[in-house]
Amino acid sequence: MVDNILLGFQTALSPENLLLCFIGVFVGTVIGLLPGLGSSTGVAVLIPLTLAFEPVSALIMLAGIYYGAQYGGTITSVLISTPGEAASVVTTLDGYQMARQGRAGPALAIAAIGSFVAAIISLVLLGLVAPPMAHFALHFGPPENMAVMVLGFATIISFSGESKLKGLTMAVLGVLIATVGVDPAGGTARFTFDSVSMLSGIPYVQVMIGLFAVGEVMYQIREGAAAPIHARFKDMVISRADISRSKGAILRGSGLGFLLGCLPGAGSTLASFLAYGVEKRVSKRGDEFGSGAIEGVAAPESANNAAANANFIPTLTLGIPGGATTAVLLGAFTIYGIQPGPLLFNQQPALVWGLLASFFIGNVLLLIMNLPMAPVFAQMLRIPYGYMYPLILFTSFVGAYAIDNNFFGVWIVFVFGLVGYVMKRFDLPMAPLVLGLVIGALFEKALVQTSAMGDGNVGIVFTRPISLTVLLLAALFVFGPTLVKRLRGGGGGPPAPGAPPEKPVGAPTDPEESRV
Amino acid sequence: MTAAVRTARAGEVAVFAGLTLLGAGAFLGGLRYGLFTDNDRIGPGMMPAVAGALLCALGAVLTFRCLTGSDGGNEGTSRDQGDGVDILGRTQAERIRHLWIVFCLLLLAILAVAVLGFLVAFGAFVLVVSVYVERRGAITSLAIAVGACVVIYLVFELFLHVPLPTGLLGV
Repeated sequence: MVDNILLGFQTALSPENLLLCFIGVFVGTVIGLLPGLGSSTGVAVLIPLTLAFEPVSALIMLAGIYYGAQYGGTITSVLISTPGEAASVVTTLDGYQMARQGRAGPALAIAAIGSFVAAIISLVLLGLVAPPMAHFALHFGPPENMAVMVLGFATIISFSGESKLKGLTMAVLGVLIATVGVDPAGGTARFTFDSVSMLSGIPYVQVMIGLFAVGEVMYQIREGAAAPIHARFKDMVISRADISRSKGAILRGSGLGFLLGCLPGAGSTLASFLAYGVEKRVSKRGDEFGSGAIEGVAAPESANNAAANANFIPTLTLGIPGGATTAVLLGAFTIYGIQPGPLLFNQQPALVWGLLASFFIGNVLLLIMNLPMAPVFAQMLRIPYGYMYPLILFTSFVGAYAIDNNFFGVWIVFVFGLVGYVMKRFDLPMAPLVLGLVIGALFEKALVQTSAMGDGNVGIVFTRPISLTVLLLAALFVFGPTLVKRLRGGGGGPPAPGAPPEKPVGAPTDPEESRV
Repeated sequence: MTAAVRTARAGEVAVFAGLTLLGAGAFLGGLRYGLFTDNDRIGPGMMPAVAGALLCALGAVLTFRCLTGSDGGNEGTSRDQGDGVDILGRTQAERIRHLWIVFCLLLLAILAVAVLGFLVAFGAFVLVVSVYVERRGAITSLAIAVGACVVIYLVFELFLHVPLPTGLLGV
């Protein structure tokens, strides 16, 4: 393996590949900064630019775009509460609150550090366990996928705080929205009202832009102009205490992200949600989550990045894309005449290991570029909001249009902007809605396939060891803390009269306390 | 309970009742699509029906709790408690008016895209909101609006080759 890693670095560190990796990371970051344009769109749009290169060089550049776009999305999630893709939604919960408290710099820095550590861990794991993990992933059929989605739903409890009922309601609403369009069972058009645009369903990226970007702007207009955020320089730079607090979150997030990233289809979104939920459960400062806890940024960002890397395991070894971006990259593989599969590691070691080494180099470049830049990006918040929000709206709507050059997306953003405003107005948490929307479609597909596998009997999900284990984990996630409290004799009932209620994660904070 | 809190409460009830109705509609729609296929497998209506029924039930519980005040006696958030002015001296009533003006201007900009084109319609939106709603200097606002259009044009049209709608003016 050492020879392979050396070969990989030799390939990735050639001047040409290094330059292309840098260009990819830089361009990706710029694309990620544009609302709506996530890594998959960025990679898809820029594939034509790479056609003149050697396959390994082209893939290194595209992988750089992938990471860069993810980090660019993190910047907008933290600064203006506008996630570039579903995997960044969780980052807005604490990242944006940190920014409102004048701590955008540490939030962006810990995201870069967490991503970097996750990249190193996942690279080592990729080298060690890619083939066995690929075989393990082969045991994941529809029942197992369905169980993983149930585990994803179980995290809703972490995003709802005291108002679990509201969180659950929003998640169900998300699932319901996900049912719009052609059904995965027999191709029946559901709730489309004879609109051709609705046949492919409600696009969740545009929904996110509406909920988070437009909804937040409208809410801030109602709240009134606040003084621009002027933080001291030392608050803009990450401290040792911040890093020390985040260590565990980064390691746990990386491990969890890697595991979920190995599974075809589970992807980075589920990894980031689950990492946040687990961290909230295990952290000593779980009650600070949602109001600017740095662990709430570190865990999902690490998980997101580790999952992005691990997504390459099913992609490279099985030819099954791990997520949306790797699906686009799989298309690029075909264009360059590369056949992914179990033999790829043996037949084209320079390409595979060069690509894997470029993950590491790309993340080093991201760290070098963004660690010093984090306080600079944070200076954006000094701009008066009266100038900022029309521009946020402008870029949000252009971004929504640019995703698939369809004006339908613009209307989706407008409608869900209104929905987002109403949700913020009445303290309804948004993260469960996005989770329901993203997982709902995947869950239904797995449900339909499981039903077909069991000849109508979905109960087979309880008869297969892996799916049963995952379901037990989900049950443990939901009921575990209450059971532990009961066993310890601590009750677990409602809070004592007069005790301050737990705030829903992602719920608007009191402007007086959140503004610096 | 102040008038503002009462209004917020009424709004909350309306939202939860709306969710209840939406859930009921989805449930009925799901039944119409069919819960199972002919060979007893999951049909196209199963997910909408289950999600609809759940939403209907949850919405009804939230509505009931809101009406009876058994939702912990939420008396509205801090923003509903008074008529505080922001740093620009705007009262809450003015801010709410601005909010709806921005929404209407946004709708107008979207509708105007077909005539003016994306860049002009949204450039004008940025200018009008900055000058009319936010009371910023006209020259600065114009510079920002034009600058934003140029940057968007360079990034989306020239670099990413996104064909933004040009409208009747061809811009």
